[in-house]
Amino acid sequence: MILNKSDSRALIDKILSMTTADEARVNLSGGRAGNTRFALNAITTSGDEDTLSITLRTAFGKRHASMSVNQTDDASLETLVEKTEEAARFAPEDSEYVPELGPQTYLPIKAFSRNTAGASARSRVKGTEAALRPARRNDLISAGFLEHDHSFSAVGNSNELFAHSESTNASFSNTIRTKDGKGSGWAGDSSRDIRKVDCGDAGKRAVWKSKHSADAQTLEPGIYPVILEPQAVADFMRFAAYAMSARTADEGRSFYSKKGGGNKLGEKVSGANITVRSQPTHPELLGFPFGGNGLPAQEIPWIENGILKNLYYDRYWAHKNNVEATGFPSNMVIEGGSGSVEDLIRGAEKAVLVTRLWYIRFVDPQTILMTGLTRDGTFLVENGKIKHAVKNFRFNESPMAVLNKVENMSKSVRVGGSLVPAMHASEFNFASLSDAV
Amino acid sequence: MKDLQDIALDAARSAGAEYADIRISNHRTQNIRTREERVQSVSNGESFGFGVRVLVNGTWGFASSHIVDKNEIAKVTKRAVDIAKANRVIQLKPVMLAPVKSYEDTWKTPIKKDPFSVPLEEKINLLLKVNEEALNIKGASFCNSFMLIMNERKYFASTEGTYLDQDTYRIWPQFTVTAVDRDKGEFETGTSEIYPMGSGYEFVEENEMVALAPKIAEQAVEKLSAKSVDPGKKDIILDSTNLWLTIHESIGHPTELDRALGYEANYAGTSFLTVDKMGKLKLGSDIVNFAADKTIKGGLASVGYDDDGEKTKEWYLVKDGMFIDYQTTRDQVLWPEYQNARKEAGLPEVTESYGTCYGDSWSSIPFQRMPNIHLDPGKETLSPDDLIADTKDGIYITGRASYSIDQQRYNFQFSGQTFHEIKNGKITHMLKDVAYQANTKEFWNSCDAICDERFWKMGGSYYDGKGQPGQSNAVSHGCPPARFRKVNVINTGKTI
Repeated sequence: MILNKSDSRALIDKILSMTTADEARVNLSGGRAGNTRFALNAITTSGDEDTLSITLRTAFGKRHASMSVNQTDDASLETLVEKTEEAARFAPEDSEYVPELGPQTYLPIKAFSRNTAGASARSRVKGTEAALRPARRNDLISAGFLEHDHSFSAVGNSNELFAHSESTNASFSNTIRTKDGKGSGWAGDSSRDIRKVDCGDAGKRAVWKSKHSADAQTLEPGIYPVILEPQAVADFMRFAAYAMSARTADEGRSFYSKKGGGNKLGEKVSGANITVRSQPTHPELLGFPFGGNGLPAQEIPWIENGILKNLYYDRYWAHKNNVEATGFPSNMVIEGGSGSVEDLIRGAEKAVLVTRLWYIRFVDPQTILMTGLTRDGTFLVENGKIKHAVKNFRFNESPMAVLNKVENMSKSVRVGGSLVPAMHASEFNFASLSDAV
Repeated sequence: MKDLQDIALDAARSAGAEYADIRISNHRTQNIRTREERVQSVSNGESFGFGVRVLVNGTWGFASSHIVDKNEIAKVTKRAVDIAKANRVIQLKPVMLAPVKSYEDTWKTPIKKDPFSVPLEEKINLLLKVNEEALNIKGASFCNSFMLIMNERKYFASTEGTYLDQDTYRIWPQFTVTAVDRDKGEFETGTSEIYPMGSGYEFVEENEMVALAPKIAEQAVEKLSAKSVDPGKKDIILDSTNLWLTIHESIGHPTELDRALGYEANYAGTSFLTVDKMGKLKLGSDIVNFAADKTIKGGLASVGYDDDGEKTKEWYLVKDGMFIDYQTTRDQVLWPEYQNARKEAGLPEVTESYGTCYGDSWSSIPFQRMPNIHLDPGKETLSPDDLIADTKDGIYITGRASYSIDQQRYNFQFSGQTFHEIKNGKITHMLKDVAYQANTKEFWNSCDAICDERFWKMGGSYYDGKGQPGQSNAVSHGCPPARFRKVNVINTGKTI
């Protein structure tokens, strides 16, 4: 269900008027989404969903609790208020309670596309057909997923803060395998506007990778130079960004903690060619203008020319440390170079080219050491050319170690909620071989 | 409820559907989170809605809504039929459903104490006491604890004449202690080895978390000064608290029939257990038997009936080390690849689904999800102490930590909460920086000893992900401690 600005305000005001709490906040979210899944070159499942969520947070003094429901009738709202207040009264006083924000000013972000909002099962069939065509033509087997949504989010509180935002999103991905199971290729695309999602092109790219990844040769595990394609960079680097909690660092339990106490703000944490920021107004990304508590999203540099410039602060930790609250990173933009992945390949003497990564998990949060596997297109590059496909690897590597060894980067491109380049780094620890294709 | 459900079933039939089902469900959650002396959040949730699934000319369509009334049900059913009709133009072969009996029944998780009825104050006080007891241990710096409670009331009806009312409960109390050495710039964590269960509040009481807290805190502190492991091939004894997750990843996922045939290729992946290996591949040593069920008491995946309306049951996936079967739903059983492979391998004919269809919400499309899968206990009398005494150079590993496996489930790497070196039949000291890396088939064939039924215990996961859009499934895995010979142990310590 989409509630426009005035309907959202009316519902929030109605709930706020029902509560007797000292402070209250209402979050609304919901929308309409549609998806089509296919495998073995045919559609498997497809569905539409219509959702709504109403979350009320009430506080009596420093005692607080929250509850979510998805019904808007009077009885449901009365129950919501009653149960939330009851839980808040039972909750002990929270020594870290921070009063609700007052009215805020938000960045103008228009992340809505009429094309996506109007998409249907029939438009998904068209996209699916376009992606299946190259696979069927090449006698390959395709599986994939096309989804779109039109959603809204609103927040209002007893201190007269109110914000409302609508956005759309569309994304497509497909994995194309050879019939003998020896080759597999992946490609995807996403945009706020479904008409800009090129399913046919993603199908063609996955076909190329599938055909060329068949009969992969064994490259012994070890430390090799690597070219991580943008999808692999997004898969891997988000762990470095999301670990940037100031509080966790100050408490001595993060990579960003400093030996002897404190955090690494102002210190060099990566190569001088690395700049990472959140940029909610970037036209390719267009994030949400506010966080759950109504805090405005803002442009924040996290790492600038290798120096750690900011960690993220929630409102309590910011107040305690007398700094401005940042909220959680609204998105991740890694500043890239000017060329393409092909340019990085042309410039590499020897490297392992990685399409995407899979099942990435923390091994050691202290070093952000992650393990995971390469997948759906791993190749050996020699003397500026793709020489042949190689078997997939398990890796044990830290994004922070890699960010210290980046030699070249392509132009940054949109991958989901991030804008990232492909990276050519001098070392990457491929720890063991995987037989998986 | 029946009058609402019949609106969908009748509307689907008159629009040309050969099959339809509707799930009307209400999902309740409670999530309490604390750290040190503070309650971070108390969150309750309720989500009510319905989803209609239709089969039109052999093509699925699905639509859902949070507005549960007669008009909306009729409208949403029509939308589901329209989606199926839009999709059938590019279909290659029709979906065929295996036969199912019709049922009118109710089912409820057997619970002694409704966790939602336990006063909030009692739950909060318990968690805060756990934190306090943990922080009384010298060197313990932080303690986070939480309690998750879930109830799903689901009303299912299908055009097969089935009407079901099921009431499912799950609960998970947990805490983690962190020990920080600021001078060295190092930290370690210890997490209680309590895993979620299909149970009432009695599960929380049985686990005696307050008494457990100091022990876990001591483990976290001890880890700070533990010896970093020397890597190499070693015998490892995996406690039930560690082995359940290895079973989940290396046996549970590759025996999903949709994965094996390519239906999950774009996300979760495929499976090295292709149908031609059924009845032919020796997946484990002779003592390795894996049974699947959705019926066991306390199992997270246990229900009376699945989301196809099929009665749940028990069956073997691996018998005497031999891979013999998969997890199935109604729209998979008749797949010729499965049927022909069984016939060719001389395995008994399977004509009905094993009942593993599940959608995690009224708004989610139900599909094949993992049942509870267990390792049978060893037949000989054998305790963990006996196993340790019989091991010359090994490591005893407990608890869940880092875990990762490839998209066909060959290569995995798992870590744990605690590691103790075994030398000449005795535990010597604690180790750290340990992970074991193996190939699934080689690993299960290296299993040479399994403790007996006295030590059989269930672990489980609340959030097993699969599908696009992603859905979560809760599933339990029971096992006793077991030994694996000459497994590759790596050192995960690294400096940057």
